[in-house]
Order: sequence, then structure tokens, then C-alpha cells
Amino acid sequence: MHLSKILTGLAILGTIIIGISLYASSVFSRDAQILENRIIEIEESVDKKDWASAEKNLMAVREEWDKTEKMWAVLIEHAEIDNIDTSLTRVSEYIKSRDVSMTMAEIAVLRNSIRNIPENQSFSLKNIL
Amino acid sequence: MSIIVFRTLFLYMIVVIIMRIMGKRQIGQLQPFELVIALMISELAALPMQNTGIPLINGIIPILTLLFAQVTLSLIGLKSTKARAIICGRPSILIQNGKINEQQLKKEMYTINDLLEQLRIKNIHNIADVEFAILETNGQLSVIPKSQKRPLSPEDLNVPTKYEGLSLDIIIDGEISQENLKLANLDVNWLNNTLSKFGINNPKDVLFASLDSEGNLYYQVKERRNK
Repeated sequence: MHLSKILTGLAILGTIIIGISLYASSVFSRDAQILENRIIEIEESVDKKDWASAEKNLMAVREEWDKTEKMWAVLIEHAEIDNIDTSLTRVSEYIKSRDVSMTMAEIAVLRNSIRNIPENQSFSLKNIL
Repeated sequence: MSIIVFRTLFLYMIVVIIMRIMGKRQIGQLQPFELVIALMISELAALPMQNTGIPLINGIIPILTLLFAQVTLSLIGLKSTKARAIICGRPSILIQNGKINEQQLKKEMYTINDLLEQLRIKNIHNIADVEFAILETNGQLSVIPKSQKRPLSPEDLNVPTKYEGLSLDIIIDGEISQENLKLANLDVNWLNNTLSKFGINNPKDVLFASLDSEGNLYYQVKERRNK
């Protein structure tokens, strides 16, 4: 009886640990993909020098990021979230000043910062070592 | 600052619960794998406690994983003696039949001075008095003295002894333990009557009272009442 209780407890604990890990991994992949797609839209607008559309897409990214940030803050180091926040602010300022090269460079940094999070959290030999 | 206070209290609570789940052995006699877990848990809890940039879950998940590993290893050790020997190791006999086992000493990296020190702690000042000394898996030394050097027991003198059971705590800090009274097949009326014989009218005035296996009541009244 006592042993079965321990085994049940272990099974529940194991399920919680694996469940949280899998959920976190799927949340990162899903959210990062959504954000990256939105950022690509900004990139295309800036490339066409369509600044009005770029600002509109940036607003959409910010709204999406506000939702994503809440969940990510529970799972990853807050410094990584601050990096994305800073990068978004820079993109916003470069768009305002209509600076194509700086905007494109910062968008690349932003995409990289977002892409790195699911990559760093994924279950792989590279990350384990 | 309030975040740190909350995080500290929360993590403290988690670690206390985890240590309780891991069992009583975790607090005292640690096996090597339990010592490792205790050290790791303290570090894992301290990191998110100090650094608010680290999410709490980054501290909690590794602690839960360690709990999982510890309980699993304990369970395996409980079920299999072979696994137990691998996980906890085997006791080493450092002194066998009064002779120091040099090979075991070297294997355990235990110097003669360590051995003598441990023997002195066990109140054995002459190594020649030892029949067996066993280094247990938790690092403690068990000593069995030579039969002619061990303390005299009533059995050696053929002296009959009375049964000595555990004494039962009846009152602690003025509170009566109904459970222990029931175990002794007694009730509150008996307790009140007995106390009144000693001039105590209220059990709340008693600091501590216990009942030995012969039915004798030991008691001490609270200081306020004495003044």
C-alpha cells in the first residue's frame, strides 16, 4: 500500500516535470514562430520603404509580444526578455527616423534574439553539453 | 525588495516540504547520494532567491527533478540489495578481530589518526581494546569492543531486571495528551485525582508530566505557579 502510494507520487511528479518541459518547449516554438512571421512583415515593409505599413506591423508585433512576454517571463531568464524589449524599442525609433539600414540591422538582431530562445530551450545534445 | 522577501519565503517553504518528503534520513545520517542532493538543493534554491532575473520555475523544476531522482534511488535501494550496495556502498571493516585492516584503510583513504580520533570520540582510548571497527556507509564508525573490555551488564552478573518500557508524555506545556493517556489505559479523571494529591488542581499549571512503565508519574509545575 505504502509502495503503491510512493509509485503513484513518483508517476505524478514525473508527469508534471516532463509535462512542464514539453509544454514550455512547444510554447517557445509556437510563440517564436508567430513573432518571427510578424517581424518578417515589418522587414518587407521597410524594404519597400512603406513606413506606414512598417509602423502598423510594428504595432502588431508589440501587441503579440505583450501577450508572449507574460508566459516567457515565467520560463526564461528576464535578461533575455529585456534584450527583446530593448531591440523592439530600437526598431521603433529607427522606423520613426526612416533609417532603412539601421532598421534592417536591428530587425535582424530582434529576429535572432527571438529565434535563439526556442533553440536554447530545445532538448538537444548541443544544449545539454 | 518585496520580491526577494516573497521569493525567499516561497523557496524556503518548497525546500522544507521537499526535505520532509525525502524522509528523516535526509536530516541526519546522509548517504553519499543524499548528501549530493542536499548540497545541490541548497544551491538551486539560493540562486533564484538572490537573483530576481531568474524565473522561480528554473529553481523549482530542478529541485523537483532531484526529489524524483532521490525517491527513485531510495526505492530501488529498498527493493534490491545489489542496487543498494552500488548506490550507498558497503560498510568497510577497518579493525577485524583486533587487527587493523590496512588495505581497507587505504581503500577508504582513512588514516590511522582518523581511526584513533574516531575511537577517542567513542570513548575508546586504546586501540587494543577494539575487536571490530566498521566504517558505515554514512561515514560513521561503529565500534565493538573486545568482550573483556565492554561494560558490565546485569546479565553478566545474573541479576534479574524489571521490564523497562518507554515513558509516556502525559502533559506538555499544560496540554494533556489524550492519545498517551489512552495508551496507558488511563483517563483525565485519574490524572486530575493524581495531580490533586500533589496539590495541583489544574493540569494547565504543569510544565511536563510523564508516566513510566511502572505507573509512576513524574511531573514539574510551571515556574509561575512556584512563585
